[in-house]
Amino acid sequence: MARPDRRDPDQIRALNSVLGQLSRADGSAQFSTGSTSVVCGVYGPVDVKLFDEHLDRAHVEVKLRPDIGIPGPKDKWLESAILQTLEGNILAHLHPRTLVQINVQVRADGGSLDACAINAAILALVDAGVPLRLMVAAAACAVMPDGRIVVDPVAEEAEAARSLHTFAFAEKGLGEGEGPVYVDSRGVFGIEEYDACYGVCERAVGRVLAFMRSAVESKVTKESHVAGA
Amino acid sequence: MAKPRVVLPGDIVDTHTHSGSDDESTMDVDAESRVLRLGPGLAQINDSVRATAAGICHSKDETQFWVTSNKRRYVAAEGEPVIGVVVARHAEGYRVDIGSAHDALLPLLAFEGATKRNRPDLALGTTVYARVSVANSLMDPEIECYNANTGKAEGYGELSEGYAIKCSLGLARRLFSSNAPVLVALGASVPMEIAVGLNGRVWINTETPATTVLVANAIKNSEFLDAKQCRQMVKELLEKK
Amino acid sequence: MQTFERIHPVEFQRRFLTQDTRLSGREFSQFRPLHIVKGSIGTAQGSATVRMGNTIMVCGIKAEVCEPDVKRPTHGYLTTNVELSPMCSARFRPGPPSDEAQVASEHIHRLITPSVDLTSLCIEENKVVWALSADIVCIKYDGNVLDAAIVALVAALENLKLPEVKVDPATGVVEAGAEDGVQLGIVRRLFPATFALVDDNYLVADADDAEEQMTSASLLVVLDDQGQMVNVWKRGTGIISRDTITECVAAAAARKSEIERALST
Repeated sequence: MARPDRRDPDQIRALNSVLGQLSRADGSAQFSTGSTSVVCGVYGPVDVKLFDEHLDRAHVEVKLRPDIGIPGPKDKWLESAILQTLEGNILAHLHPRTLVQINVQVRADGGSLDACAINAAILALVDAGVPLRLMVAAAACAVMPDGRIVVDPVAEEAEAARSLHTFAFAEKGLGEGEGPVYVDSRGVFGIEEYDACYGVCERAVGRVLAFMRSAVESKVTKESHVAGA
Repeated sequence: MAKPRVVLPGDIVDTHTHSGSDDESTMDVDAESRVLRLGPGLAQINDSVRATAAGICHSKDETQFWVTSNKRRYVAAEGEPVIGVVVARHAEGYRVDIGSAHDALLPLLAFEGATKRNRPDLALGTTVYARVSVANSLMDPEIECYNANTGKAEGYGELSEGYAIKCSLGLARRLFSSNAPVLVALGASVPMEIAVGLNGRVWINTETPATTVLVANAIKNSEFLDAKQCRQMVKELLEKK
Repeated sequence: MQTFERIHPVEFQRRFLTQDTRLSGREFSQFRPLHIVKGSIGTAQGSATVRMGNTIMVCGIKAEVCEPDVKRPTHGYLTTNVELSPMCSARFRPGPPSDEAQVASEHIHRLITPSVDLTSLCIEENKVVWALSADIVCIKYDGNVLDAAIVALVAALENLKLPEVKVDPATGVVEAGAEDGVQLGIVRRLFPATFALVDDNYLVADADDAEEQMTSASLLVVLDDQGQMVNVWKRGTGIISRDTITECVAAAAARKSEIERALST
């Protein structure tokens, strides 16, 4: 059975990213997988409200705006998912008494939005030069009613799926011994299916990370080409 | 090792020396006695030196390592010249916005010839050129408008008239080096005064506002241009004038 | 000892953990015993109180009649709301619900929606349906509210009795009939188990408040009646390896029978 967009089961949609496109933000990134697209702008380290100030580390805040309407509980949930995935990865102790604000704007949700938003946020943090421990990326997959596992599902597939899985991995975490940074698996599934999805997403994250690396490298090279001259 | 390479956060930077023989015992002794100095964009995490920002990793003498990256948000570092705007006046000094997370403190006595009786008088909104004298993550930064050793202003102080623009920190750093192509090209045909703050602000003063705008545009345009393109861009701007 | 605990809470806990014990005397893999009282609130259509050590959650479900959504004319509504007020812990401030409470509400809502048969809430297609609002209130906070909230909600749904209603075809007025009418169609019950990575090294089941303060990662595993997984949710940067997650799923199955026993009493 073919997928709605005729992809192979283990094929992710075309990735696209634009770094530093917002001129007023300290760092920004647009990340798209197929029709799903998210823009993220990062400010930091900036002045923090007294209420949120920590004496030993920066306060990290995620604000998410949906593509349509005002933010609701779903968006709060995703905000928290992004925060939980990235907060520990930011070397917050290097900038105490400051704020790192991550603003996420959903442009279009064509499925696998959670993973796309996490990826946009990490790229924006890299663009802003916020000190990070590791590169992290996310990917999603779905188990269809007939048992097929499809990676990076579109909205239509997610709707019909028996279970949906979103995993985030750190770059150096690809391998034995280490585990995922973020997992959200929901639906009805057994341990074998979970394990299979883990593997599928781990491979997909590897591809996303390779893409991110080339995107960041090309931006750094473009800027330093001038510096070297 | 000498060759600069692009690093991303989490990349391990190899700080071991590769010159000399393969003899491991001498290398170990070497490694122990060697003191590594890690600059911006690098941190020791567990046993390895890792990049914390995306940029180009440079090294010097195999003991000094740093990453140059382009950012837009300034983090104060000691000794760097910055351009700030006075935002508040207190009994002991001024609060100056230098674009970092916290406003910098400019003590009233940190000016050439200033005494308790003879204080400088800066209005709110004044642009000043100053040097960062205290910068660490736990305190608000402090700046000064004189060289504390000689007591002379050495070019620091109020920047009256003129026009200040913002740019990326990477561009500011390049402009600061004496032979920035865009400034060389402009300087050849336009008389101007310029002050570069490493906090991504550039102050320009020329004879006419039109020329100031031209210089400002030329600087902003030069972000991604090499030397040859810079000369061409400046030439075109001057012709249009 | 109390002074030490107050001044160095982290170091205090660490002394126990390094000796492979916990302050509560539990094993690392041991959950707190569950006590469930169903029907604890007489005025609600369904209710339950869950006690898990010093964590107490009360769930009350109120049923109201209203018009269905035009897109789903045969479906009723079920909304969940988790309340973490200053009443249960000094960590929470008065005012609008905290992010933590909102995220818990949303997560539970996502889990429970496919677990109940919303069409069993239909009174008359396109005209009247039941709208259930489940308020899950924390009375005493001592960690792991998510597990307690899910169990409380499931117990309250089992306890729920909707009165028989008649719709007068002429006037459209809805009239309640006899009390203790129909039960809600429950597709599956949920059996949660939360594990926390404390001090980056020790994976403990069902962390209490003090342990949660030192948590760098948490893992929620939810199973259904058949023992199939319905949710795995790992948050935080602490490393919980792939194998450990598999072990946690097995431990969640053991916890499931404990919850089942508590639910049936």
